[in-house]
Amino acid sequence: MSGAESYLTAADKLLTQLVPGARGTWPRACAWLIRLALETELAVFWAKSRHPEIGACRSRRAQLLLLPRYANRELARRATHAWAALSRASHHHSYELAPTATELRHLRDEVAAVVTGLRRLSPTTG
Amino acid sequence: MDTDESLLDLVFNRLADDRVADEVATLVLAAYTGLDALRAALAGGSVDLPKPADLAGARPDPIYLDTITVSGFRGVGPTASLRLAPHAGLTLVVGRNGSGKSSFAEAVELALTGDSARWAERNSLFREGWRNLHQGRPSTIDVVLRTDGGRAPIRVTRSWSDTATEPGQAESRVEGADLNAWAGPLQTYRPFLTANDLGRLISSTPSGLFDALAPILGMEPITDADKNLLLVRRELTERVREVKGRRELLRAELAQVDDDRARRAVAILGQRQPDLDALDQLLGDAGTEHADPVAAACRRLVAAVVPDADDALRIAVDLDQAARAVAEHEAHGVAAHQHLAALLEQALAYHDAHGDGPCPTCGTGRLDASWRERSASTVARLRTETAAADRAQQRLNDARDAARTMLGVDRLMPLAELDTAAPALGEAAARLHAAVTAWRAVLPQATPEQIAAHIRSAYPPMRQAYAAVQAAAAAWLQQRHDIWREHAAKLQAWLHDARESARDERMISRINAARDWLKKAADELRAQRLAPFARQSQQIWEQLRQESNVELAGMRLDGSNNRRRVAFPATVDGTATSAMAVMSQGELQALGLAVFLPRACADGSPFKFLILDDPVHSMDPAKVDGLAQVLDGLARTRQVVVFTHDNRLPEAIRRLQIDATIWEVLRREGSVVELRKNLDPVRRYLDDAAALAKTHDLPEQVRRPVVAGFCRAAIEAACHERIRRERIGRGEPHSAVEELISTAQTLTQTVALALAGDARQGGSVLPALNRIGGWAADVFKACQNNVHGAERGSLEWMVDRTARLVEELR
Repeated sequence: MSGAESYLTAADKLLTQLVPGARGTWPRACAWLIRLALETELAVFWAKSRHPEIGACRSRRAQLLLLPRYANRELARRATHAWAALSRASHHHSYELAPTATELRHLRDEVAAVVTGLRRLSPTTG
Repeated sequence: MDTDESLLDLVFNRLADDRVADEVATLVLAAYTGLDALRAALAGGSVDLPKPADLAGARPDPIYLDTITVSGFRGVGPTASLRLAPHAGLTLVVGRNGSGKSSFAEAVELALTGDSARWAERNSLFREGWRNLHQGRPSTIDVVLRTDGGRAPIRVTRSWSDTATEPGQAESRVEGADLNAWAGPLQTYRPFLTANDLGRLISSTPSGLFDALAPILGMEPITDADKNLLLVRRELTERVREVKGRRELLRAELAQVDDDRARRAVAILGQRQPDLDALDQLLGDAGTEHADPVAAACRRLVAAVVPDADDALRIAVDLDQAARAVAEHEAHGVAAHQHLAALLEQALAYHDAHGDGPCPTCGTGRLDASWRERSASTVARLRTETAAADRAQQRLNDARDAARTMLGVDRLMPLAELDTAAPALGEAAARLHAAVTAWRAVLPQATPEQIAAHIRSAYPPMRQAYAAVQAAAAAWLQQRHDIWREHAAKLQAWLHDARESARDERMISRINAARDWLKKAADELRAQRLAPFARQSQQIWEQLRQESNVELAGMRLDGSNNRRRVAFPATVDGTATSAMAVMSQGELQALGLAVFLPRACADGSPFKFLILDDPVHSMDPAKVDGLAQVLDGLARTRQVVVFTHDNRLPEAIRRLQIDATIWEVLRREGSVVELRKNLDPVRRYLDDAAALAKTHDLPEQVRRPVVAGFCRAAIEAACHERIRRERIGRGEPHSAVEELISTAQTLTQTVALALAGDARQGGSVLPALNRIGGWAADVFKACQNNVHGAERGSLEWMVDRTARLVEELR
């Protein structure tokens, strides 16, 4: 099981089961895991791309801004949106509630779709 | 309005397809045409279908918002303006609660409608808050709008004098448009939506929701047709009811009348469906009595002629006299004289045969010539006497015959009718019976004197009793005639109305048939017309709520009149339920948006703008993202202006890279409101370009094409802004401007269109840019050439110069 899948599976477990010790913290933990899945897959994508140096860039925003050109516009839009939503959800903001299971489920499905899309674009896989 | 025309076509074609009977189809079309036409059709006239021109009501041109200027109104003190680009696109107006942003939204609504939904249902205390507390005098709102293709802007100004206390007391000035023509569409499409209104509307009564949605379907001509049918049916029913009521009245009245015709009329009127022909016959027969035995008997009794008492007395006198004469003759021995005359005649014959001789009877006398002479004269004298007696006898015989006839005179009276006519005669009949009985009580062997005495004593009373019977019968007949005449007239009038009424009832069943058909057709048409709205609602709903268990695609407008409602089929975990019952407040608001955004953006609406006040109120973050996408979709064809107090929507719009202009509203002390442009598409592209240009840990050749792409996008957006502003400002139709923009396929063509007004003037672009400055042409070339890999200048330089160029171009 590759990196992205293992994170998504872990997120699914948090979404569907009671994990001891995760009471109350599972929504944000889940958001973290889903975001990790996305970031892991992005790194894989850049590594296999014509410009592996982009994957080394620390600015995630820059990576995402470059995605329309080196992947495609629709995948870039979905990835950017999911990443921003997950980033906000995975941080504790004052006066902002944790994401709901429904939202997390939706974001998880978005990320899974982006992962699949990125793999389809990569020359060496699938 | 071509929708109405096609509606009529639809109705017409359906009538043909359904093979609706001509008489019903005529009613449907007549009702569609109007009340007068419907009445004419029912009267048997032909229907002139409405001409398309009559239906084409004046529809306002597409309308966009340009500028909203407010002073001394609500949260705004000194004059503040919100300038909007009068074309499709998304504008966000962001400000903290109390910053005065909603004042602009309310100003538009108040300017156009004369009131605001937010206030309409509030108490007076709340309504007083319309005037700004810090600088409320003068209070003015001024809204500038632009119509598609209209050169001159429309300006609606409402201002309040210092003494005005209610928003409705504004002085209004309208330039360039007729606000009356907007009233209907404003109500139908309501391009102003606030979260509170939506929540309230969506959870209001089923009929309230129905009324809010039904007008967008443009079914009024059909519902009006049904109203016409209903109105005429009510009139007819009222008439039928009135005739029925009078029938009961007549029946009760006639039941009091002692008359066979009245009784028969009562029987006829008592039938469930009165036999009008029988009634007609009854009224026609009124002069003749063969139908009534009493009347017939009376009639015969009156008609019979019997001898007067004088005639009877004369017969009695004759009889008496004749009898007396005969008696006198007898008293004079007329019988002996006759015998003697016969004897002497035989003796004379004997003498004639045998000649003189002794008397053969006495033997002592002698028959001779002197005897013969004496006897012959005696015989002559005797014969004269007996002839008189014979005549008297003859006279007595005649008188007796007359008397015998007279005794049978009672047969001239139609006594058999007495029993039949008894109801009319009363005691007269009994008296006549008694008199007749007395009259008939004469012995067969009665002498002429006795008979004469009987006639004299018994005839006059009987004659008198009969005259009394005749008088009673005649009086009864007269009364019968008089009684009937009045009722007959009433019955005749009712019969006429009842025949009309029967016609009315046939009309009513025709109208019912027409309404049944119309209802079915309307239901199907409504469902058909609602379908695109329902689909759009469903799309919006899916974007606002990812895992919806409510299917808006199945939304239906059911029923009519008092039973109308909007149905949302919903399932929760596979169980059918009512959507409303299972929803949270936030979901209801989302549902409200899903249902009412399509209404506000219907193709039929002349308002190409849409104002949303605080739509994200109580929405989850995921829904805010969904809403941003929904607004993005709507903004492609609509001018969408969203007022919001929290930062989540602008944030979602930035994150989702949605083209939008964002204004920030700031309010200082004393209600001084400032508007600051916070973000627009040009700025967003430049921000992204700048972010990437600063990412030095990435190789430049990787970033350069992307940064250049963002810069070109910024230049292109600035050009579009300029093209739209200039051309729409000159009154060119929006569709033509968008068409023009889409023909400019390259950046050079776009810039040419912006600077030279012609996309084909590509050659003029660089000279024009050079006139702005050499740097302008340089950066333009840098952005362009990088597509092909040529590199010139640093990325920071490119972004910086692009920002300058964009300012020049806008």
